[in-house]
Amino acid sequence: MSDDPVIEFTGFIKACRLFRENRLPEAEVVCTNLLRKNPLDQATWALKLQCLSDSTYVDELENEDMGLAETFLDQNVIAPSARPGTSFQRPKTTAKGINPILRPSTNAGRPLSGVVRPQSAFKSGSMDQAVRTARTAKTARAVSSTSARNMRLGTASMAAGADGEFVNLARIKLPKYAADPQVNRQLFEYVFYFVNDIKVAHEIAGIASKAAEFEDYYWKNQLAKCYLRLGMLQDATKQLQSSLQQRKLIETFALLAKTYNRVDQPMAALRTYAEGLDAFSEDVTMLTGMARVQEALGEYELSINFYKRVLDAQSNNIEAIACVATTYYYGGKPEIALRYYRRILQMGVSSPELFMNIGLCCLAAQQFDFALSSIIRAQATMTEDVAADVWYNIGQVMVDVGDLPSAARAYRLALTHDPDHSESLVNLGILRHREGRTDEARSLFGSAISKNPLMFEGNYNLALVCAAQGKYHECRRLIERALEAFPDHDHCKRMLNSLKPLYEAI
Amino acid sequence: MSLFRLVEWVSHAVPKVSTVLNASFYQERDQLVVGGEDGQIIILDPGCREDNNHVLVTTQTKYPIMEMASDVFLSTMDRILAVLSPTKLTYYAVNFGKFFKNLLDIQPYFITSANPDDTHATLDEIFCHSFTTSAWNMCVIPIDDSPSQILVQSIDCKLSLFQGDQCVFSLVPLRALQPGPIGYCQTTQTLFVANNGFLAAIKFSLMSSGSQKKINYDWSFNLGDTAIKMEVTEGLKPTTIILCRRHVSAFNGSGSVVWQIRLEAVGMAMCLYKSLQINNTQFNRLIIATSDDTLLIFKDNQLIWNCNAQISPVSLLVCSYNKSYENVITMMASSGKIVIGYLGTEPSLYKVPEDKVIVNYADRMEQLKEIELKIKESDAAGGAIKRKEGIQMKVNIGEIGKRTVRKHSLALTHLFHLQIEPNAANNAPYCNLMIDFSELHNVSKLHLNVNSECASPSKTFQINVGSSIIHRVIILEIQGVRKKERISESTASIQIPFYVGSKTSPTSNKVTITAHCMFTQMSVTKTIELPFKVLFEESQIDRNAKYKLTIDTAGAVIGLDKLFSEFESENPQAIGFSLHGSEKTVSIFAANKSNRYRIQSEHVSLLQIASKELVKRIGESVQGMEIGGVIPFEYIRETLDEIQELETKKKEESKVIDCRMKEVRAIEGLSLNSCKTGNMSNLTAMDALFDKSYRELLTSMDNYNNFSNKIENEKAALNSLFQLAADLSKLSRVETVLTNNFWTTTHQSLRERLCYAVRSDRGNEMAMIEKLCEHSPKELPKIKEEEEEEEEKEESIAA
Repeated sequence: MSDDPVIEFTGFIKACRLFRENRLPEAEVVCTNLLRKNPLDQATWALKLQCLSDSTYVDELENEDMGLAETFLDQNVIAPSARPGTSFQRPKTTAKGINPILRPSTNAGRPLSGVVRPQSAFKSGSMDQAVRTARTAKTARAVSSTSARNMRLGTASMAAGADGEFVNLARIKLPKYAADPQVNRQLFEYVFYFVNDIKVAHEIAGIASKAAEFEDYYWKNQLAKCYLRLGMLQDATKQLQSSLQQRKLIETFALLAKTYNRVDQPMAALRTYAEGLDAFSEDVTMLTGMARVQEALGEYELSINFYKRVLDAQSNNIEAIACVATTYYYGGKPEIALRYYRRILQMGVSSPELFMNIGLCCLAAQQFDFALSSIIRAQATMTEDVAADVWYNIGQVMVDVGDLPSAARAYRLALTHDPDHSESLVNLGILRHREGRTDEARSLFGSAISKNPLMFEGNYNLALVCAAQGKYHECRRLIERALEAFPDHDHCKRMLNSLKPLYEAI
Repeated sequence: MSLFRLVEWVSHAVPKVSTVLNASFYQERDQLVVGGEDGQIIILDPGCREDNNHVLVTTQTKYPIMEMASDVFLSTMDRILAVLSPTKLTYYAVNFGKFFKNLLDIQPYFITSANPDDTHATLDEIFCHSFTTSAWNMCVIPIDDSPSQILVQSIDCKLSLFQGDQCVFSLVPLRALQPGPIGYCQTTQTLFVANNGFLAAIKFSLMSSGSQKKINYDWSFNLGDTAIKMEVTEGLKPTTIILCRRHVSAFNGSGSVVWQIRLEAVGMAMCLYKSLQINNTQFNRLIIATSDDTLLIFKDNQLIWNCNAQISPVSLLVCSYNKSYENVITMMASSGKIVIGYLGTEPSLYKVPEDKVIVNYADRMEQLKEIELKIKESDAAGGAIKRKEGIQMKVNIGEIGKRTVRKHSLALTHLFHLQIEPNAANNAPYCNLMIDFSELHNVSKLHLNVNSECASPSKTFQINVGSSIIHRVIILEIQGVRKKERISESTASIQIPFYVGSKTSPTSNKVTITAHCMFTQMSVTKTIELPFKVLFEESQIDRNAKYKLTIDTAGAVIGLDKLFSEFESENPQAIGFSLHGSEKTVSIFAANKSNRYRIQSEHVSLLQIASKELVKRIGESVQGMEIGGVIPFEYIRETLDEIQELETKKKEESKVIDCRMKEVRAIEGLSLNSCKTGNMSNLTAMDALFDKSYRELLTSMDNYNNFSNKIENEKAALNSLFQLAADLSKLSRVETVLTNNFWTTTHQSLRERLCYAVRSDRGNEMAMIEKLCEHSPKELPKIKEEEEEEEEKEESIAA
């Protein structure tokens, strides 16, 4: 048996086994070798397509990154002047709604959530403001349009292959392959995820849907995905509704709700999620979607309830734990928030943000010893992108402790890490103002506003300084802007009322 | 992400393992059969307590093993192992040795001695089926009251049913490119095939009838994903559960989706399990392993437990190896690791990073200081820390020489790249300035600007660094002289000659050169003083010159012939200089008795340059000599008066020009009118009139220009005097802003400028100038945050 040939799997079987074991690069290499021997092997070809597309797969439900172009040049919003509570732009004005004092907002003017999601930036303010915000602040938002960005992603993934493009889409016989149910799914996924050529992907989905005699829910969903990427939301809705009539599936419900969110119809989205829940009771995708929508609408109680239901069904859902914790923290229950954050820590997540949050919770819960060690750990593990936030929070802690020089120092350190950190600018301004350096404070508030025009605190604080200095006109302008960010702020309203007689007197 | 981790009970490393199977060969408990890609079959008995090796038998076969199954395949024999390899389906009988035969009826707890030399068991091949196309997978078809059958699917999706040593049928029910998992439901007698992302249910009777007609499936579903594993449950509500890469779906008998789980990571393996403790068949309980090393345990679609597996398994089993290890999880990773473990409440292996509670405050203070420094730097650099890159420029005095080629031989100069100074004064020598650049990273073009009162071929130069060629572009009256030199890439150099110009006489020997790179916007400026000899030559002494300046020294007078040794004078008491190509002279006298030097000239603008040179030379020859001088304010006053007088005259002259212009225009209008009317009688008179007034206009324009030039000269003299005042103030250690640049490059009047400098608008110009020379300027009111910071720091240290 010494000259016994090596016993092992060979050929297509090997490739299939590797693919099954999720060893995609190795599977791709085997496929490439097989195709070199027999370029007409359709099965191998399809498998290689699958290897390539799976390596760049992104869940389309989570992929909600919207470019500025989509956000502001959007013609899809059905009701531009919606009633309060029925639009993301006009959340309910009741007191439990968005309150920037009780819960800070992001640079894009949305209330802070427990996790960073791509689409945490709905439209607010003008395009000019948004362009400025996006450029100065660290947001996840792309300045260009989504399709252009995806095109870049596509070319990048193609550059990775040494042999250049695997399938020449311009020369392939699309009608033939797209109608073949054996390869069309693989081809579609390759074009959609790997090449990112949505136009061709749409063509394939169209042909495939026709070949399946418009009876396959799958192709309707894929068509809807293409329409979503192309911004043709009405068409997407139509396809998804037709798909739902055929088969009620989680993905379809979620996609439909996502489409409704894109056209600023949160109520319709919630309804769709509810229908999805009827079909699939306690489904995590539906519940998470509902929780996110409620959070964006400022209904934290409802949102938290949904997240709790998520946790009942899936106790290791980090997004749910983090969001519940955040809401508890801002709701004045730091001890409970601490328990949730500790849970995340126990589950094996260790990020500087988490340590900082635990530190802040501990501080609020008067557990100073543990707060200190958590903050030190956050500082030790922080990366450049969160350094500004960590230093800012250290500044807050220093203010709480009463060490104002150190607080000022921490804010300045935050500013060295991120010169656009508007919160640090405002708080540093307050400290300067306290020291009697009014001009310096004014300039700090001013730069905070220029970095983040939607910020309530910056506008309000500068307005207070202006009022003290007798610059009533500027004060009024700033108060009005502050009220845009926080329409229910009582003191702002009172100040505005006291300013009015001055104008009338003239 | 999970709170807990799997507790490992037994682990084996079997390289090249491809499949695992739990089968019960004896004692009503599970043994583990491991098949390898290299053809090796190993039967392990992890439930055996005595033997740590657990190996019952190892057999080498000739084919890689894809799948294995164990059931009653023959009515006459139990304990049969069916092994599927790509080309063969082989049946093995598992026979145990004598030792085991005795023990077969005894409880496992009483196994006391297992002799390692003893071969515990053997695998004997019974028969095999060969395939022409490679097989992919198989499933066992249980049949009531008769031996089970095996359904094998080939790589091209052909299904073959084997009953014992016979092949019942072989057909392709559904064409597909990629084979997927297959499953059989005994209750409904339905075969489920999940090839190429489609799940199809086929009535098994249709296939076994042997008809060659096209087989129709009951229902089908587009999974939209690659199926990895299928589990079929029997009972009242038969359910088909499919694990795909991104989701898990459960279907009922009629093909509708019962529930779906969307996975966060790629699904790797799935295992359905029944627990004897939880005797509830209402729910399906399953374990799913994902590629992020997590095991998820579901009750239908509800997650009831999750734990970290530390490997991502490709095969999962739930086995009962003995009474104390019932329902333990067996996992096989693609790396060849086989782990048998159970879910426990062991915390996940996450370790909190090292805790440093002891704070070294001295260290922290140092760190803080560094950070403060960083902040200051960053503040100074406007937010971003200044990069230490830049162009390095060196300026050196090169050779001094006389012109060799006169103006008229210009045409030849291309050939001999000789220095030509078309704008030079007669007989004036030139001095080459050698300008060397280094660290020119990524700089392709450099622009040089020259600011000097001495003349040079051009005031602007352009250097192409990237093309390794220097172009000297001349923008003054004479064009077309180019000089090319080869230079290395990151360095560049150029020579520029300077000399006394023919048009204006210099009042200073300063040369300022600014290099600027257009792309990086970096610029660098250097100032150098030309040698005295470039400007002056020796000439007659003029003792009666009008303007005088006295320089006092604390020590003895040094002979002028020594001080100006490069000139060929032998008189230690006096020396005279004249500017090249002009009549302007300046004389220096030395008085031994009073330790004084006197500088005399007819031209006030030459005092500064001479005094500066003298002071410099005295300072060089005697170190630390106290030198002083009296600022000649009277000359400044005189010059100022002169300028004011000239300005008034210039204004008057401009009024005259206005009048003359009007006159000329009126005469023009008159003559045009007369041309229109045709009355040409007084043409000659008009012509004479026009001629006269035109001449007058020209004269007054000349006068005007004359005044302008004079003012310019006076201004130059004033600037020179300002510099002189600055030099002399500096000798008495007073820094003043009144330099020769004080009134240049500005559109402000002198008064405005002085008001700004002294920060008051009282008194006349002279008073202000005197004030400026007496006092150094006040510090600008800066915000001195740093000092306070220091205080704060000290306070905090004290605290």
